[in-house]
Amino acid sequence: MSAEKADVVRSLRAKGLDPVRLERELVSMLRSGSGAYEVRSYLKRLLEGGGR
Amino acid sequence: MSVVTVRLENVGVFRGVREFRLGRGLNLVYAPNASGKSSLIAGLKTVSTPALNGRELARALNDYEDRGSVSLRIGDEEYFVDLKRISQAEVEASGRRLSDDSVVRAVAFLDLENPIVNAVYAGDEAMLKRILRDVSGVAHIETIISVLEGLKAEYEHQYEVKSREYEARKSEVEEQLTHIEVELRRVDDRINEILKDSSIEPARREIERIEKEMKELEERVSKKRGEEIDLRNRLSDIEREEKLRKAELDLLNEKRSKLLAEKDMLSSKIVEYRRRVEELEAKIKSLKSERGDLENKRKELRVLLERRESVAPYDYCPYCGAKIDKESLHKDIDGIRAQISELNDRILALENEIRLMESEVSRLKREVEERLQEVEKELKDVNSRIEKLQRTLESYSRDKSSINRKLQEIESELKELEDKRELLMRQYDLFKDRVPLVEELRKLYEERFRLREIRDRLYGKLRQLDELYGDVVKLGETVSITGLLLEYFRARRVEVERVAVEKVNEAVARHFELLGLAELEYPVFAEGFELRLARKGGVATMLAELSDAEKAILAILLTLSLKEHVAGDFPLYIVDTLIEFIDDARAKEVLRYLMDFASRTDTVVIVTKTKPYTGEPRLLSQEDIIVNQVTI
Repeated sequence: MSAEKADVVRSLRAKGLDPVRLERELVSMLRSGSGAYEVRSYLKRLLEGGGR
Repeated sequence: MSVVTVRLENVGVFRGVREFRLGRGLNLVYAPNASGKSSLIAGLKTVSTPALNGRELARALNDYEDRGSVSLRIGDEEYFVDLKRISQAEVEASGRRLSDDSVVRAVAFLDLENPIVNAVYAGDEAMLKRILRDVSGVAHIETIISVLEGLKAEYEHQYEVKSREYEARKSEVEEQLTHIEVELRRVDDRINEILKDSSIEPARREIERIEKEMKELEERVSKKRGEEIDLRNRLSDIEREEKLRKAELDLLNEKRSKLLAEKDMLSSKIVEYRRRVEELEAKIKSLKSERGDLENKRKELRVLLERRESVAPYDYCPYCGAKIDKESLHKDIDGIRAQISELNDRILALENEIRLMESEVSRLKREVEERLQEVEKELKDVNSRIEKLQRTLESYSRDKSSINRKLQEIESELKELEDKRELLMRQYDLFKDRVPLVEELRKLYEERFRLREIRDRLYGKLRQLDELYGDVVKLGETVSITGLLLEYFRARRVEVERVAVEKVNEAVARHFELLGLAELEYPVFAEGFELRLARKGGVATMLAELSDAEKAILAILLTLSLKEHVAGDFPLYIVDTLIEFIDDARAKEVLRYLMDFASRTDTVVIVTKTKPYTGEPRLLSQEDIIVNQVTI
């Protein structure tokens, strides 16, 4: 699983998106009281706006 | 020395202002039922965590008041929350909290509303498992996964719809193109046939020249038309973008108007507020000077008292040898003590007044000065975004003008070419009597020209479709990235859960003394936060089979372990009421353990009880809340 995950991380970074940083940001949002709606809006902006 | 000060205004059972001082280490809060212990804890919770629900916030504010506040000072740092009643059941809270992490609610505040305490007391292992997954972060990853699953399905659907639309439109255009090409071939073949016909011999040379010029002219028209179509496509792209940016600009302008109105309102108030702050600060200064005078006077009286008390045991003064009038001396001592006590009260009253004024000053600064700074910062940001958008819109406008100019040029060039073509066509009239086929030839040229125009427009449509294909490709890429993210977070869910269980089990092992007090064995969790409870000796048991005392100890053990894992830096740990469920002997052990924990981790631990244990070294009044740092 870990080797597969490393491949996924590499692929995502090659596409300009760091999943480790994204996880930190999303978990921090959820821990400070944001819900699924805010997470969805954040991900939509990230994926559609190209702000990776 | 007190390091933590909690100031409550209209919180819980308290109306008006109450202040409590807490120290590093274990703080035992004693008071009978309904005296306000839980109000103190509710206040602390309100100022410490963002995760309170509306019901809890409504309970935090005193039932008879519409506004309240909690401030918490830890060392030099101050945190505060203002409470405002919106309706009977709704209270709004705003301010700067100690933590913005909702997880501290579950791991650092053990009251009867705590979800872990509730699950443990309900004997509900499934609920406990769910809460532990929430607290340890597994549930957050699951939320992200479910959001990504939804997004992926949405993007896949959009991708399918756009792909189908692209394919359908493309094949429609291609079909029309094929038809036009066939027609063009038919016309060209007929033209070639006529050109080979012997009946055109009398004017062959002229006809071939016209045909050559006509072909060149049509090529040029076709090229210009292509340029025109591309420019029109580009123009409509710019207009679409311009519409979006204008909508964004309208929103920002609206926001700027609101901010400017708020800034004006705050600026108009600031003079009044500053005067009020100055007045308060002057009063604070004068009160502090008064307090200094009183403290000096008290110091003098204490010296005097010490002198009087030092000669009290003697019949004759050890300094001057004069006989001491005991009755008068004791009267004197009592008088000085009364004066000191009166001074103590006045100093205390002054200190309270100073504190109230200081907190009023800080509230005023918060409401006006700080908000004004925030508004100015937001305005700056909005203005810079507006400027950027205006620059973008200006560049769109320049691009549009330049495109329109080019289009005009192309249109006039096309008209010129059209005129030339008309002239060429008219030249056929010279031979129509000599060569009857020329009339057909002219019609064929007209038809070829019309077919070429349609073909050019269809190629333009195809280029427009290329842009749609770009959107399809982009959507395909988004689907692929969302899929990769899902894979990543699914792998992380497994990892986070495994690590969380290991870490919490390790922490449980470090609190083995509590584990022993609950008469349980290590470890407590199996994979996936499945509870695995075993009595000493290895006999398996269930949560529901534990006694109330064991449940209280287990709840403390679990929260301490989780706190280490997820909120190690949070400086408070609070046990409200729960300690009452434990028998005295074990409760003292738990308190001793918490005292060690507090000093080991530099945490402020607060435990509430209705009455003290026998033999404690402090005199505790039951008239009010007593907060003591106690040695058990």
